[in-house]
Amino acid sequence: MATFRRSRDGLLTLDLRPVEADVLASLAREVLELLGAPGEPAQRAVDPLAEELGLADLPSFGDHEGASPAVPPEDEVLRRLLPDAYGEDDPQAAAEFRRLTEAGLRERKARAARGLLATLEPVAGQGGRVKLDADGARTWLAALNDIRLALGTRLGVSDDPDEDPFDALAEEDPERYAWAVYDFATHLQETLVRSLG
Amino acid sequence: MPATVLTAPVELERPETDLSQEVSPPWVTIVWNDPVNLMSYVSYVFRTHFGYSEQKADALMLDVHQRGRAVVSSGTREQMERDVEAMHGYGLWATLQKDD
Repeated sequence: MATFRRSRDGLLTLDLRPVEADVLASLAREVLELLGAPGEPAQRAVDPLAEELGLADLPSFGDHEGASPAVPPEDEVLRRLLPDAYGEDDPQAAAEFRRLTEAGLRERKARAARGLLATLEPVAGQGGRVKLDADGARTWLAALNDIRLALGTRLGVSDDPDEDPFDALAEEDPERYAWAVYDFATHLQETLVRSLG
Repeated sequence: MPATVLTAPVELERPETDLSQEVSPPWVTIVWNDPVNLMSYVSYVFRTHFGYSEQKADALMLDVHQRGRAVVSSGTREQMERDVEAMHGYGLWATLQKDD
């Protein structure tokens, strides 16, 4: 599996197989779409990966220009990406804070996803080596984390070590693939954090 | 007489505002446990954003993981709103509240 390493010139390197590069790009585009900020609209008709992961029916958020909404998103994944800043006992403060900040948070997350996509562009379809400087590493960390939050929330990841949902899935269940993708993203993020020291 | 007004001692003796003694209830930023965020990543975020030592960041991360939550910073409401917004940027689940 592709693993981040620190090279002699101080950069972080990652050797991706073609399928790994494409899976990552699909996931980043998925997050962009979720945030209502499609990165490359021309390429975004139907995402086969999203369909395969059972994520194709996510609500699409079209128009986000202008002020932020005051209510939390209905979709549980978006709610996890854009959580309330105040507890349940203060919904008014939560709404006001969301109104002031949500658009900015969406934009920062979209920027990270676009940054990851831009790094992947040269290796799209063929795989190859990705090199990250410190800025690139921060962008990838943020983007990978959002990808994992989205997938993990959708899959219902739990803290219970005895509960391995993978075992309960039938051999041909498409969710097995989604879990493998989640584990791949986890492995990348873990090795990226470790390489940063 | 204007001269008297200008030299009124009240003007000179006005106490300076001492911010450290201002009494306003402190606010805190709380990071909550969630099953997705990696322990190594959470610790990295605490070191990066708050400038905490590895030891302190790891201790806070373990608190989050084992007790379900940890107070990671305290200060004015505005400062805590900035911290919470930053935590959300990193993908951590955080809220602010008055210190109780």
